Amino acid sequence: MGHPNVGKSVIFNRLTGADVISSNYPGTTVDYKKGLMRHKGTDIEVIDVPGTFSLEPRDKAEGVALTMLKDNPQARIICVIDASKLERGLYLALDLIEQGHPLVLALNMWDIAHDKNINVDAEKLSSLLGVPVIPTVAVSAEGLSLLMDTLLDAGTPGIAEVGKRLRLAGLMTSQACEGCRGCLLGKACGEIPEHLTSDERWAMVEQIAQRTVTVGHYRHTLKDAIGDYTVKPLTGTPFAIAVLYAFWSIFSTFSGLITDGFMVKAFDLYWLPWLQEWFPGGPGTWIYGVMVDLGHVKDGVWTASTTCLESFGVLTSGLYLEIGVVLPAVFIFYIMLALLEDVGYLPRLAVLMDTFLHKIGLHGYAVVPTILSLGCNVPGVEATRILETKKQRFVMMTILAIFIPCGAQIAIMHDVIPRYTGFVMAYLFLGYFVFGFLLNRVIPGTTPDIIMDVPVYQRPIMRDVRRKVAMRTKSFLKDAIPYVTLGILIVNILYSQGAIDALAKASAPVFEGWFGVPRQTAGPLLAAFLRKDLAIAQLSAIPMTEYQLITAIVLVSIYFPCIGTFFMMLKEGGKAFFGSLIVLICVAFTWVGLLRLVWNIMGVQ
Amino acid sequence: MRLSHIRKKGIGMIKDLYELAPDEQGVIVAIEGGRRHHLTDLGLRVGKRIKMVTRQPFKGPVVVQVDQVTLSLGKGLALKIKVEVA
Repeated sequence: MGHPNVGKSVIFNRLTGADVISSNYPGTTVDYKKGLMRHKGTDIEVIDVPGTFSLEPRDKAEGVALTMLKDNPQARIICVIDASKLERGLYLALDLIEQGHPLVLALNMWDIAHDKNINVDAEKLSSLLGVPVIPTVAVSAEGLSLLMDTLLDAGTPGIAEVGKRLRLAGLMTSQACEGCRGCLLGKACGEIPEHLTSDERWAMVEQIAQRTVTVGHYRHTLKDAIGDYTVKPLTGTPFAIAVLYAFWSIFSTFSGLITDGFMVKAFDLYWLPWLQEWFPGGPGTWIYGVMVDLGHVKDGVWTASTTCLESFGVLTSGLYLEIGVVLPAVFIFYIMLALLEDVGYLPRLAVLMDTFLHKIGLHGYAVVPTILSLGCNVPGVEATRILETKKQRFVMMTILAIFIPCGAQIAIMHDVIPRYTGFVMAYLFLGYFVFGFLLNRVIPGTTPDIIMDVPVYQRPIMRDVRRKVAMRTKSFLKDAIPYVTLGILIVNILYSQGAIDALAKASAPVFEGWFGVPRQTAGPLLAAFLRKDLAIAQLSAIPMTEYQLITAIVLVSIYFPCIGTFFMMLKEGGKAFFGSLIVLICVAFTWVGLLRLVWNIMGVQ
Repeated sequence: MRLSHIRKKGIGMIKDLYELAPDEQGVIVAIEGGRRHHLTDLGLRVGKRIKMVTRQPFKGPVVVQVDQVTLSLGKGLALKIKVEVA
């Protein structure tokens, strides 16, 4: 347990050897995670929970932590405190002690406190509180073995005991402890009430802090100066634009370089011809068609495909899409995301964006789910838990799922319509704000003001960055390969049975009449439910004009969330999810219809 | 302590936190409104010295420092925190 962004997940990873995502912004962890720690021959179960400021939940993520606490009253607690923010951490610790939970205090970020010239007397703190207190630096694993050793001695002194200890230390005299009822009532500290009011607890915190913390002179460092300048509007705004632009250009350059420079050649010149030659059955058999190459009919003659993109086999298109195009893109995306997260830039971006996001019923913190969604919508939707009100969560989830394309989708777009990817993205972001604004007007409920810690910039630990990138990449491959395979199989089989043609015919009025795209778009839209990147690749194989292709790609992006996002929304939103679906249908018709109208007015086809 | 009470005693100038200029400092004398405990949980409470880092334009949030901790607060909250400027 502990406040957000004090390093609970890092400690958890180090203790159990597990891989939980940890970042330098509050609210990284939104669900609990169990792991085993091996200590002196026994396995001990360790649970990582989201950060919480108090024992009263203020959002869904804090609720997860507190439910876990309530369900396991006998569990030993590692209460993690940011040593440079001792007072507020102690407040939570005292609350936990008062509730009778056995705990060990980990004074984490000891190095940062040291840099800030804040010294905490851990021994004295331990004797005052009656619980073990261990200074730790989680990122470099300092103090963690000691933490493990003391975990079993975790005590549960109770608040009255703490009061008694304070009196013994000569701290709680009737003058010094203004708020403490025990003294005010002229009772011994042994009779301190079992439960303190908030003011009383703070009085106690102050007494303890006075005795244990010495704050030396603090020099403003370069890091602080950068921290300040990147959050001040005049300097911070250009910086934010530069960061986002750099993010985008590194992403597109790098992924383009790998895909066009290497993957396209490897797949089209070697892999495809090799398969075409060696695959059992050869052209014409259905298994060859599904797995390798459907080919196409040119002048009445069956012609083999020359690129993986147009062949539409599981082993050709499927692998090419996911490994040749999407993998390099999401890989570089994850590296940059991990750096951005671990440096601690996101909260500053949140502050700068707060004003705009208030206009759409959200606050600055919405930056976090939005940026996560650009990697993959699933963690993005899950991250909506850190928003306080139902309204915020609904608005966020809805516009995320509709308007934020995931990294895989962006990568394919970049491959299919390199010149217009920027335009599609801009049109989607515009929709994000327009419909966010409308939803804010329509949906009842409130959006509270932002209250957020702005963390100190940190040098990212390469080991953690590597681990995080590896983890996200692995989970991408695990999801992408089976779904793309399944998607191609289903679509190919439906094609061969004529089902897609029938569907295309039936839905022709909608596609051709309203959206102005070919009726065959129906096929890719089916696949879009499994993987949107696959759907966009399939669109590129349908003969249509450039502008129709742009419209169709926008339609795929807005249209139904992919299956992973679908279930995450259902889990997180419950009934509200169906509201999101209704919004989605309205948006698809208006926003894509509007794009067609724009083309008509411009006089292009 | 009630705000009116503080004003009568006439101890320094009382301002809303929102009104502080960048780098100006003060001591929190009162926190009004329903989300008081959310602020105190973060160590923002009466008697603490607070420094304004920056204020975002267009009714945006403020960024402040308390005990070397940097926090961001929405405008509405910053209006409810009363600060005595020496």
